[in-house]
Amino acid sequence: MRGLTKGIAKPVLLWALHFTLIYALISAACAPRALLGQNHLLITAVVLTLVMAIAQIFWMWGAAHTGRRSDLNRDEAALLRAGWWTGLISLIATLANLTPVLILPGCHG
Amino acid sequence: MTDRTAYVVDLPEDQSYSGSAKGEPDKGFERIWDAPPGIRYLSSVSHRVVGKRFLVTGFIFFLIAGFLALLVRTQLIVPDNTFLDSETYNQVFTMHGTIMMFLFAIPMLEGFAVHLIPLMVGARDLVFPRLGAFGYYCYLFGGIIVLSSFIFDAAPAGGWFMYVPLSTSAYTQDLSADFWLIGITFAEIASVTAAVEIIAAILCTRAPGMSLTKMPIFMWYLLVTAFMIAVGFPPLIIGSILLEAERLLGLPFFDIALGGDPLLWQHLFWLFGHPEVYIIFLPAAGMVATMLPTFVGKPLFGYGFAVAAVVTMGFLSFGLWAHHMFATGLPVMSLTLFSAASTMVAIPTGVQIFCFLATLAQGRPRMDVPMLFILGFLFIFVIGGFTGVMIAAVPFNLQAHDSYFIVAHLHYVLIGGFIFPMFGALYYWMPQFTGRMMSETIGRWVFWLMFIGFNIAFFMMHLTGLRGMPRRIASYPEGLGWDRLNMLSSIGSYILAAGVMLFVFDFFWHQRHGLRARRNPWGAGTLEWLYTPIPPGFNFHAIPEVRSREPLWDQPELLDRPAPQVEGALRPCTDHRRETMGNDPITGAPMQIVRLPHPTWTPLISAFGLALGFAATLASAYWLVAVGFAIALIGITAWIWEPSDSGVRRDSGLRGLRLPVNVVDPRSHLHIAVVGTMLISFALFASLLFAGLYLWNTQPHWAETTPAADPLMAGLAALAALSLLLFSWASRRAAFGAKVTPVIAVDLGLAVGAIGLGALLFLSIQPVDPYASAYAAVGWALFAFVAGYLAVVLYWSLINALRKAVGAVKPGQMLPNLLIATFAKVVAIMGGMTAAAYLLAGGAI
Repeated sequence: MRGLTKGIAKPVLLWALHFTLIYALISAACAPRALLGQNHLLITAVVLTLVMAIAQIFWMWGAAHTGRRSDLNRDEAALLRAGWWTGLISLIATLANLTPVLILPGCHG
Repeated sequence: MTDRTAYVVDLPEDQSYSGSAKGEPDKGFERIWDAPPGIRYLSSVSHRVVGKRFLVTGFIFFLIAGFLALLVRTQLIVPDNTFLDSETYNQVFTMHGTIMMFLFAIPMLEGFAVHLIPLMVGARDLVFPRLGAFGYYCYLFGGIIVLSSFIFDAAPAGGWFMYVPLSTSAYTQDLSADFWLIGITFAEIASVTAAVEIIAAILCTRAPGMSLTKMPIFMWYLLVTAFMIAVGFPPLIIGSILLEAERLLGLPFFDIALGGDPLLWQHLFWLFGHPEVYIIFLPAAGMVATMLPTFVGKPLFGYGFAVAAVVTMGFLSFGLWAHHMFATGLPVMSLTLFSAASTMVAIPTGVQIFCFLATLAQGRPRMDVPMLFILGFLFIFVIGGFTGVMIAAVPFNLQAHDSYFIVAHLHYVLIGGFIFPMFGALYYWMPQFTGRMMSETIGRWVFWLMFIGFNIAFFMMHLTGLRGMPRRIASYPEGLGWDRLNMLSSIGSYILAAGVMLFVFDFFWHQRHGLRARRNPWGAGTLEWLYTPIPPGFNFHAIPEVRSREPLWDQPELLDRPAPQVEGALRPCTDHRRETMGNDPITGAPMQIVRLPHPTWTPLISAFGLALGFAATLASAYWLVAVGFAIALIGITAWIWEPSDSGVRRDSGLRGLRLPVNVVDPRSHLHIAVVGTMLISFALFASLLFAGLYLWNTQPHWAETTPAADPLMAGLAALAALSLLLFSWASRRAAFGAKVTPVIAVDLGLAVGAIGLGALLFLSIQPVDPYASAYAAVGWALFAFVAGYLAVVLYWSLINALRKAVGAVKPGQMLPNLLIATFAKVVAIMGGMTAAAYLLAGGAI
């Protein structure tokens, strides 16, 4: 049950990390210090998103796989379902984080 | 998991452990839990007493803020009105927002949490009753400080968000901003203490068998909310301290002439401000999720979905803060990122709403008064949610910014998402507070007046906003198309107020004439209705084992006999102490017996001392500040200088299961509380780091011209942090041992490590003039912050050493060493990170 409980928080923690890193990358590229160029921003953000998305898909697959086990009781099944859904919402939200970097040509549109 | 087994003495029940207090042997179970009579009632720390204090005080603040809202609406009822002058108008709307957000909404949810958590999870009290009482008094005194600004004709007038530069000394020369900053920061102590208490209480004191998945859904909502408070409030606390330091000491954190940035305040404020909306909404949604199944007669649909949604919302809501800053000139790419996150949060919110609708669809709901308020919540909140998605879109947001459309949206979200569920919850749980039922007839009038009045008042504001009326204007000329809409809004607000006043009447009327509540009057499934709700001082004679999420529906043995005869744990009261069960945080398996404190004055004395210190700061009476803080220190010392209860094993009354008392274990309530405290502390530290990074990134010229910290001293400070880390590790190991006296060396090692780290950080920041630039000032703020925590490590470790030296600690009672180990570890990490930040900023690494 301990692992299943963690399974609810892991995907959204990953989203939070991804959001923070994308925000930091945009800030690094768009603030007056201009640490990053647009190309570097795009490449880094895409790679970062891919890594995070794969991890989230892996966890969702793991949750679905565990869900097919017959020895789960009602409580464990509820936690597992919660974990799978947080995984799905987090995956969509992670992809949404990437959209500004992907669709905008520069910091100011 | 436990990494070591703690030393525990196993004594027969008729023998007490020499190091542990015996309690009140002349009193039986019920008298032990009685609230003290007369003036000593103020020393009560019972969750029932403290919860009611929060609720009553919060509701009084609600009435005050509501009255201020009526003044605003009266001023705007006709064009060119002269009812209030513009300065008074500014004060009135500022205080309305401030009181509603800080002194009403959060404390009310704390009141419900404090009162209901133990009853719902099967505990006899909250896990830290004194902390709850202390938090309440901080809230009360903080609220009085804020309100007293009216008496001194210095009510804050800069809006509830106190934007700079308006609230700096240059533009607000009187004390009004200081009243806000000091009073609100003080009151926020109640919020962060409540967060720690809620986390520890829900995770550590559930009834035997209540695993996380058998918890009432309300507990999930409160748990997530508590974590959100722990992470969300620190940015505002840091922002307020920085702004007050600028006003009081002249440190230029937000002064643009010295490399400061007004947008830094907005970032810190909204890092708190947006999650705050969810902090208010989630507990209210949790109340709805608890009440709804009662009136439908079926369990909540999709418990797992709802848990997933609430956990997801807890995270996503932190990614929205900058959507309050769309019109400030942030890069479009940033705006789009926040726009995406703001839209995304609609998904988990929608999942919850669909869970509620699906629950409704499962049966034919009883239309009692709480149910009416639930339906009102669904109608109003969903409209607020829709307009929320609209203003998440950058183009529309820029159009609607600072218009009455925003006022309409936020009131639909907050009144729909909090006030309506709260009134429903007051009707629902009132028997728990007074033992009587409120009137169904009057309740229906209350609902319809509030519902109709609210929609007339606030729906019109969408239209007024779309017609271009800006927020916060004290008057407007006629003929702009706003006259009739404002008139209707004001009339609606009076109708809404009439509903609230009718509720107040019902409240007083029911105390004398209301029907006495019978056992489980609504036919609910949750544990708080096990006893007839005539408020006693205690919760459970025996704490029942729980096998279901709705135990009163699924466990017939709980209702087929009088509640005092229900079987369960801790029926014997061997040591005549207040006790409850402690459990494994995840599985709910019994793990320990938790000893709880009896009534004490220490929370009141400590809070009074702090209040005196804060109030004296406003009066610039610095000797009085010292006196106040000294009183607080004395109060806190008396609080912590109590006999330890650890080290002994007792019968739990549960099939012969013998459990340790206040176990030395990382899963214990005290250690979980320290972890929660350090989460808050790290969020405070991270807020300061964010401020430094933000200024470094946005003001590169000032960052380059600020002198570097001394690299040699900063390097030595990093080593000192490492040594503090090593002593923390040693302290943790010592906590599980049986030897007491040799551990004094570890305690003193921690003290020396704290002094060394503090001194080296002080020496390393010496070349930097804090008044030279905002960036330099943040460097000093980092030092001051870490120094404050090191002072706590020093004080705590010396107290631990002293207690051992005078023989107040027996074998197996080294729990404080486990606690300080975790505390000092995080402080060492923060100290090390500060040293690294000094080295990085100076270009040394």
